Amino acid sequence: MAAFGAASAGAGPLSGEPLQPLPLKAPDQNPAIVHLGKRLFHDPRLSKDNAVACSSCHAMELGGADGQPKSVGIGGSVGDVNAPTVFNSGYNFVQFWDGRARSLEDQVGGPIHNPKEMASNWTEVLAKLKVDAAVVAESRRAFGKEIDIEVIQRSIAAFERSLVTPNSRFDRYLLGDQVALSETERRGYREFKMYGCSSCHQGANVGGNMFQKLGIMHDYFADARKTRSLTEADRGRFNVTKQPTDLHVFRVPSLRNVELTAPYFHDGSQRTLEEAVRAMAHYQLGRKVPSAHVNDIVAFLRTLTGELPKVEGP
Amino acid sequence: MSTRKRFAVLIGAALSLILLGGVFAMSFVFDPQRFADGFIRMQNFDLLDTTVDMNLLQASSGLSQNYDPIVKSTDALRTALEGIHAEEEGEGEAYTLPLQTLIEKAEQKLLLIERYKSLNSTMKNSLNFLAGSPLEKLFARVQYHVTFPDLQSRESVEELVGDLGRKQPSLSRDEIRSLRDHALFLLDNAPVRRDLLQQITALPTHELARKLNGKYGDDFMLMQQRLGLSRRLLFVMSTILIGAIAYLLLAQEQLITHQTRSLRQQTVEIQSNLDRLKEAQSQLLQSSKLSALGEMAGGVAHEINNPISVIMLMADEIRDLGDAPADRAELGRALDKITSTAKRIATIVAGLRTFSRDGTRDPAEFFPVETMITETLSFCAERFKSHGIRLEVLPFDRALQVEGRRIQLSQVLLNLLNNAYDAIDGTASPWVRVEVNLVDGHLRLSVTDSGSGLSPETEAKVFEPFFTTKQVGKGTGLGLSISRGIVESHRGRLFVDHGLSHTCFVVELPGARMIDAQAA
Repeated sequence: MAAFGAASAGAGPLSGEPLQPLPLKAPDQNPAIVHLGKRLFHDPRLSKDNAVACSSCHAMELGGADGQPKSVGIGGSVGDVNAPTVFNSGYNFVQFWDGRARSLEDQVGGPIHNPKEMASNWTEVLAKLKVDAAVVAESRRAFGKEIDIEVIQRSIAAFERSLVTPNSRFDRYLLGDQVALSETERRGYREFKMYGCSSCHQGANVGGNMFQKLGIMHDYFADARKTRSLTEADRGRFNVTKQPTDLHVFRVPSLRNVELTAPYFHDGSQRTLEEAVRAMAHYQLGRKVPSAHVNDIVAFLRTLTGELPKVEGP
Repeated sequence: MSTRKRFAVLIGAALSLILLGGVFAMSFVFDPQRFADGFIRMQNFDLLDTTVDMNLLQASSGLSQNYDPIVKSTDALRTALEGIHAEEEGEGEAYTLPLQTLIEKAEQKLLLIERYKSLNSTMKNSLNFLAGSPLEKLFARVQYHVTFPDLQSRESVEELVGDLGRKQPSLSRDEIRSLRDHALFLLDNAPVRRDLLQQITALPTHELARKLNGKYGDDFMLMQQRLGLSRRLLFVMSTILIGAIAYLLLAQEQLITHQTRSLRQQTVEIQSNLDRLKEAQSQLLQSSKLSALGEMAGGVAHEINNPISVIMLMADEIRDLGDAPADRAELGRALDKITSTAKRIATIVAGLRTFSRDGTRDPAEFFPVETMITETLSFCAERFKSHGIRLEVLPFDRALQVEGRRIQLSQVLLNLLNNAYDAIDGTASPWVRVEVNLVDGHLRLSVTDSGSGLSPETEAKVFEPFFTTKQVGKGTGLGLSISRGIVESHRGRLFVDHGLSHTCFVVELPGARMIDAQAA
């Protein structure tokens, strides 16, 4: 729906583009619900030892992610995948690298129960939150009821939906402002399309609207095995569907604000944008991309950084 | 209109009201809009489903780098499916299974489309890459194979791929390897994509949606018919009900008019009865007055007869007298007697004239009680005497005066005396006694006769108008009630004294006092 809505919003001067601008405003939502969501998003009581909050791995000041190859959860345990950004996550068609949650609401429970992330459960979390008068009061005001699983899911999802980054230079370019991008950046965009990046990184979120196998033209995991052992997470969507065709299939990540969210890929193996572009060209497109083009494309990718959401401290 | 008839109409109205309520409630059950919504949902879903299919076909041959049309239409289809899912529960049992089947098949379809989308994107990239290379023949054959992935077209591609690197000196080894990889990738995946497409199009979402669409349509028509029927019923019921109510109201109105009329008639009758009664009453009063007058006239006749006899006697004596001196003296004595007797008659007539006056409007004044008694007795003393009834007035203080209308109070006393006379006339040794006392500033005037008192029944009614114990034609039954009225208008009381063995009527009047006759 998000991609569809964005498509109709992109009826700017540049039409027929595979990429579309983000809506200028986050969807209308009850401010009381968003406020409670913000509070809970930053609340470490969602974890077993009261040390890890959602914001621990999805920091507002780190592009909605954590800058780590793989996130560090409770007790210093290292997670399975690179933390995807929370920004614009409402425009993704599914959540998680393997797409196992259809909605942000469904997603909330995942990290809370993951033993390497928050290692908690609903009963524990609710027991802790129910004795906090401020949280109880906010729940009553926002939902007219006591805090429960639904309240936590809906409020955190609402807060996440409010985290949008509109009005990037690239969006202004799409909307007709030709000088919003430099010549290099415009060339980078042309090459981005020409090499076929936009076959998957498309729509308003520049990705996040389809699944794709990692290693279409060359075997990514055969190469990865040379430097590390494969993990369960490397199986990707197979873990969800158990279909052989879904082995190593992941949700195509959004490239919005991509310059802020290094390192890259589900395993956090690519430290820079240049590395990531080269890897993508090799494994996904089966192409050798000259350095000049890589630089152009990276220049273009940096124009995808929008206005970051202003979130006052919790 | 009879009560039974009205009752029947009332029952009928109540029944049609209940029926009306039922039909009204049913008109909510018959909700064609719900089915119209479902009809449109299914039509919309089928349309989007068709669009998705068309986009799938288009995407499989297109090279466009535009925004993937599959993504757009698939998102729309998913939204439509969520709408169907949200309404699923409220649609009733007949819809549960087909809707569930449709949702299940559509979900399968969307999953397959995800895979198709992924595969299609990468194949498009490979095709684009080949299209941009100088190997036009390879591109043409690959494109043909991608569209018709059979063995023959595959072999035609493989033939060219085998020759790669030999006939293209302008291309680097890396480039040739890339081109080969992409061509082989397309060879491998074209049948996969075709199978996926076949799987997708084999899913019976269209049939299910159209069947549901038809079902919704049928139910819509059915509900529309039922709603029309219930509306007609509602109209008929309402008409009946309104008719019944109007009928009842009209009947009620008629009843009221009728009752009012008869009530008015009754009032008129009562009024005329009352008028007649008043007339009779006033006639009676008149006759009572006449009767009192008659009684008085009897008394007066007695009173006057005697002096007249005296005068006639004296006249005879005078005729027999001579001129003798003794006779002369006798003549003077006789003439004196005649004069005094005539005077007495004049006094009685004067009293009669006074007494027969209506004293109702006379001003109240103090007067000597003795005068009133003497005056009254002068009308009846002779009658009592001639019937052998002893009438005595016990001695009392002559200075005693009372305030009131003298003539009215005389009438009361005369009435009491007349009643006593009637009661005891013809009994053995009859007597009547008049007593006058001053008690605590009140005049107490009692008339006691030799009778043995009143029976309780008589006493209870004795002051009621028209009550009488006298023979028909003798009494009017108004004497005592009028007397009591007079006494009460003097703020006094007229009552029977039971303390005695004889009949005793008592008049009590306030404003009595002793006044020295000389001083007054």
